[in-house]
Amino acid sequence: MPPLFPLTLAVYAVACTLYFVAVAQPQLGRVLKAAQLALALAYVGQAIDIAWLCLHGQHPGSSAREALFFAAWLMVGAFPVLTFRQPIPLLGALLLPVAMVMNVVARVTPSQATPGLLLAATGHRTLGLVHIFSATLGIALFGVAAAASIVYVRSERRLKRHRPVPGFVAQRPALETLDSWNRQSIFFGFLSFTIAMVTGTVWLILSPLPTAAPTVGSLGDTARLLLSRPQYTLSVLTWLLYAGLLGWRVAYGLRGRRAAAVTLYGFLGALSVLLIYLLRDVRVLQP
Amino acid sequence: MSRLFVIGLSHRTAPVDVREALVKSDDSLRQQLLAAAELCGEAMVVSTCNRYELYGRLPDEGGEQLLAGVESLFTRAHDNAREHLYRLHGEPAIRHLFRVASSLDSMVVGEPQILGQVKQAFQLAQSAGTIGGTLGVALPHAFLVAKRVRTETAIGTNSASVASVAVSLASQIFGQLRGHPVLLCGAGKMAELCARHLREASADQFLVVNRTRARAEELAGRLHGTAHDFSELEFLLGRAAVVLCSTGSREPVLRAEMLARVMKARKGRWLLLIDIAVPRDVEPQVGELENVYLYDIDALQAVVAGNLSERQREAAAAEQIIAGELARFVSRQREGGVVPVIKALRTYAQGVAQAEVARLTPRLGALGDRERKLVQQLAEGIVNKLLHAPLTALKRAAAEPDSPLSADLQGAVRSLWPLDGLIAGELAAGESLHLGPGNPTGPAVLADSPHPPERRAAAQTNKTESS
Repeated sequence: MPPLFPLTLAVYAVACTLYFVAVAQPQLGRVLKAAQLALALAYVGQAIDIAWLCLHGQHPGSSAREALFFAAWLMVGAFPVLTFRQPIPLLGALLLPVAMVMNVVARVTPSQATPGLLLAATGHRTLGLVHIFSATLGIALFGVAAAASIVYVRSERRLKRHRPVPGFVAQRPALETLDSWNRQSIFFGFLSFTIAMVTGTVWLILSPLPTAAPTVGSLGDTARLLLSRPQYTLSVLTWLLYAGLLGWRVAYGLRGRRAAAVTLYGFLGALSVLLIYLLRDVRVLQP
Repeated sequence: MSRLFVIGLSHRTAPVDVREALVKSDDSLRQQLLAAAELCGEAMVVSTCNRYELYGRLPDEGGEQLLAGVESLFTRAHDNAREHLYRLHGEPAIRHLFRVASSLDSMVVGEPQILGQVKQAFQLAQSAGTIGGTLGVALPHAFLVAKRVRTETAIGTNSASVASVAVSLASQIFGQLRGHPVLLCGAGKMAELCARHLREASADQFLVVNRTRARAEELAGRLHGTAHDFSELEFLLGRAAVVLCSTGSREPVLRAEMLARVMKARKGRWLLLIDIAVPRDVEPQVGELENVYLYDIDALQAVVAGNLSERQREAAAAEQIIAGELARFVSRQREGGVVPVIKALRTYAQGVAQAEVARLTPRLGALGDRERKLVQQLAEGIVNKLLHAPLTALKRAAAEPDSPLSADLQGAVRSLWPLDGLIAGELAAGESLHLGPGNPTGPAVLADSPHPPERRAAAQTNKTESS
């Protein structure tokens, strides 16, 4: 376990609690400042932990659990960038619990099976690293888009029901802003995820699995391969979902509530892919 | 006990005809009130459409006559004014001032204008030289309280009018309103008011359609927008982000099928429809379309009512702040009452020490500057050490509310040492300091001082001494 992890987790918990207080008592500006400070401290702490893990051979590409740990860190990192001009406590209150759960899941996963499991079997280390890193980044960005979507759906529902957000919580961003974050996060997330899909496929072609599983080849073989591995099926479905969302946005101007809903489903799919890999690493599923 | 008084009437006590009579005779009444208040040396008139109040300092003698005279001046402006007047002095008057400045006594609780109006009244009184030690301390403290109320509660953050709700809704959908066209469908007064609010919130493009082209052009001119024919309505709906409807039409002007077509052409871009017309200009089904937010007059009024009740809830927190600040202010005032006695005792004791030093120094032979200074310091040190305990006891007793101990101690001090002449001198010096028109902010600095009570008292002592 990385040396600062318990402390970092505790500080994340403090930041999360403070964000919740800031949501409930928006007039207490000091609480929000304290939450931001705690978040910054926890973020730096996790960065040190990731560096420590890298030095000990457990870099984000070495296993699904390190990838999950890294994805949580990236997701938290995107939050202050997005809210630099306008602090949004609700976004923090939504993102931090998810990031904390991801961190805990990553750390409680048994470590004996993880290090080097994926990469040791292949000679295409760089390709594998690019695949895992881009997939992790894509999932983190989808996570940010999902958090923005939840805020959107809540705000939009209030506006439709003629119960607009009270003035004192109006530091919540406008619908247009939230939708714009959603679009940008999905665009870059999709780009990253596409790179992951391409590199993953090439990696699979170049390094067939040692078992007698179907391989990428003819259309039928590829279909059988996808069906035999839920993580592959879900990856393709997630990619198709986001591709459809982006295409629909450009062609027909899909935005708002429906776009937010699709984003949430997509994030669940992407997160499931990572969790399936995690389960596989702990030998619950066969490789 | 503070000698601050307030006499006046407000929307809470007087009907509009009485208030408007006072506002109509504002200039002459203000002059007469200030003239009457010359007796007490301090006066300030707060005049708004919802209140007319005179703040001042009750004189040591003749306070009742003064207030009676002021009442008669109000009566001259309106025959029934007397029965609507309130008279407060001491703590209730200070509390009233704090509540007024914090907008708790306003018709729309939390409205921001009143603080500016009180500040303006204070500045006018300052320039007229009618601010002294009482108002000069109370008003800056009232501004401080108002600032606390505004920053520590959410009393002023919710929109309290239909127009400001429209702005708030537009901000929640679009964020910045710059670059988001506002379409006025109809040239009604309320729509214009909303448009003006939107313009203040940085909206910069206004499109006006009206069945009468001339009225559309007139309104567009006032808003620096463009007038269009009614036939262009559907096209303009495709461009606009906010639509303000206020036509006098008996049938809906914007129908669901039309808006469905428009939304398709807009590729789902958000559209805020504010329908303030009765009968309504927009079919209710329009509100069910995706990314369309329709608020008719009832919905807007409901939001306003909800916001006002939210403000009332926040007002409870504001009252607590005021209660705390009032206690702090009164405690400071009490401490201030003992200052002349403390200063007189110090002056007397230091005078004795100086006299003894002057008497004994020649007997010590030729002394250098250093030795002379040391003897001086020795005398002053003995005086300070001896006075420390009695002065601390005096200050502590003064800080306790309704304690007879303070008066007893002050009486004991005055009988033990011949201080009456010195105290009278200090009081006269204090009055001349406070009543000088150029120095009203002196006590205000003390009011905001972060020092603990003892240090504040000392600071006050030093300030007066240096003057």
